[in-house]
Amino acid sequence: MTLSILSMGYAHPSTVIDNQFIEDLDIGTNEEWILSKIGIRSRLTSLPIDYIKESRNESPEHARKQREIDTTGLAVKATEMACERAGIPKEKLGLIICNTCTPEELSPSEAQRIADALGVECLAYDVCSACPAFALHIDYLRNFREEELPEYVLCISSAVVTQSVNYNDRSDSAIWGDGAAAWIVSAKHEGKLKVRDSFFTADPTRCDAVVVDSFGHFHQDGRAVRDFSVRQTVRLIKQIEKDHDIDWNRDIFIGHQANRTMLAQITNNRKIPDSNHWHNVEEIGNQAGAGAPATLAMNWDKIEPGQQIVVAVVGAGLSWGSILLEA
Amino acid sequence: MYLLSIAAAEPQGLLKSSHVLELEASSGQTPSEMEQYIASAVPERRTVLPLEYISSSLNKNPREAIEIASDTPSSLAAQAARSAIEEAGIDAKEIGLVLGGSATPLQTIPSEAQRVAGALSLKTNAYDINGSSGELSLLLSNLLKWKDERLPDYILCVSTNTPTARLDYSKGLERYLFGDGAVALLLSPRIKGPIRVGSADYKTSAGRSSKTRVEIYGHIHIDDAEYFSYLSEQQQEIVRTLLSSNTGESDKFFFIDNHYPNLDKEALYSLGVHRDRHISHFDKIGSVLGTAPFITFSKSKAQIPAGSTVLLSVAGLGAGTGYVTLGVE
Repeated sequence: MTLSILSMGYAHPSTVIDNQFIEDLDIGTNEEWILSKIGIRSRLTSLPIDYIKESRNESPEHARKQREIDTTGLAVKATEMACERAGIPKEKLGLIICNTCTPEELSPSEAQRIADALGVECLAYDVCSACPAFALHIDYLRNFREEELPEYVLCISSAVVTQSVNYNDRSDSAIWGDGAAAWIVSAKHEGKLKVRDSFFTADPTRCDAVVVDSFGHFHQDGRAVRDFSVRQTVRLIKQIEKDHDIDWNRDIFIGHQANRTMLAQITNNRKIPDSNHWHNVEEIGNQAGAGAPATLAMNWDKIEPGQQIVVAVVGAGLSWGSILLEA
Repeated sequence: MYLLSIAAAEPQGLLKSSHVLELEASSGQTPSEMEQYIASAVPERRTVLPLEYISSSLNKNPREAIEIASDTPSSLAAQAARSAIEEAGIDAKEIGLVLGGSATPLQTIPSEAQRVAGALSLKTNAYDINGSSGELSLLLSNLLKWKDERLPDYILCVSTNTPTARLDYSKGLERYLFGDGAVALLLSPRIKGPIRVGSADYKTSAGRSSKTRVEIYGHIHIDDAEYFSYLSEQQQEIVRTLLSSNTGESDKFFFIDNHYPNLDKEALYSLGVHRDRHISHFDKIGSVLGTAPFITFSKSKAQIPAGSTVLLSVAGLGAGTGYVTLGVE
């Protein structure tokens, strides 16, 4: 039997950072620049707005005392939504895998923390490669002989990247948002979305391009990552188009939710109409590995039978991957 | 699945328990019974930290340790990987997948596997599968369950931990227990090697996972020494299960323990582990989290005759426990 996604859930914090707030930080940027370069109007953060304004989050360690919610908390909320949508009690989960770039602790794994918070005793461990987590997890699960997978597998990507942002940095301040997505996968039950194809790989020779220090802030070589992201996403889509029957009047594209301007370059290149391009980066910001799956989760009820969903995601590692799903 | 080669890497620094006992005495403290037990069971271990730094700062702020550490988890893992690749006699470019894990990474992204692969200049698929401490039993149990066509010819698995850089040397039994090191395994599902991976398993206990932690900005904590009793029970259960399913063959088994206190050797021997086939370097390397048993195997494999089966008991923080059996061909 083919792997299926039975349901998805998402969660975001409530505090909004709009472009005016970023501009008022007086760090050398303004709304015009932000909209033209990254196309983001607002982001959702787990941090109090006054804390960001006063401290600029110069010490990410202090952010932990101020925040509304953490990585684990967002993951639990997303999971609860996914379980409810699937009609599956959380006790039936047989495996939990998690990706995060903002773990609450270095050990135990974030997956174990989530299992503990859910009150679920099942095998739990992290499978990590930052932003392309959606593709990684699906491709990773397709490695298994079907009989080796439990009935229900919970995949999670959760990140509170704003807690690692230096709000004196004009680029990073404008990009990031916080969020979590969860998806329940089964090789034993058919679900709303069947996995038709997947791919994941990396080029670790460029792994220093995007970094989150355990003790400090997020850093990236913005220009190098931007060019790589557009190029690689286009390649991924082209490969799916070559291998499968994709109709952009029917099918949906979801990219890595890093930058709306970059997504526009990609959809223009592949002639994907706006109506068939789902995204959330404009309002929520870059939620790292949660962005793309959260986008799909937020549009769950809009999926139409026979529709194909093309997910192409890129990120730290540098790593990239794709998924083709069919409703 | 064949283990083509295995190699370990350790930092040069040597941390003696006597040094930590002296620090404790000079602060007017008296070690607890458990601390004394661990100090005598682990008289020395490897560390990335200069002793002067430990003495002067007690590593109160682990962030400072990064600047003066002799090695990083990634550099140790890369060193082990280079040795494993050389021992296997393959071109590193042939490696199709790198998997890794660590409880003490210096960065949360990229993944440890990607950092190590990057250090080796490999343009190949790489990501982490991390229980809580880079437990290789988790990686190997994964690989044994994958479809053959999804496995490349060569797979590099790394486990690396530098817990001494995350210890508070002013208090706690943890400061007597942990040592640093890395291990790399080169595996192939189809190219034969000297050792066959027989079986592997890994399990977690969410309810117990919070009893131990590596704080992202702070230190390693084991909140309850009963944790060691749990690990000991799990280890005995592993031995009981595997030796009972191989009745009559216990004399072919070599056993490498999980390198934690409360080992209860006599219980293991009563379950069928042979006293003279129990290999442990706990007294030399301490607990290197999920990495230790494989460091010990890497250093001991020459003494294990062909036809033997090696049972490695693995435990990390976060109540992750498991095992690997290796058949020496």
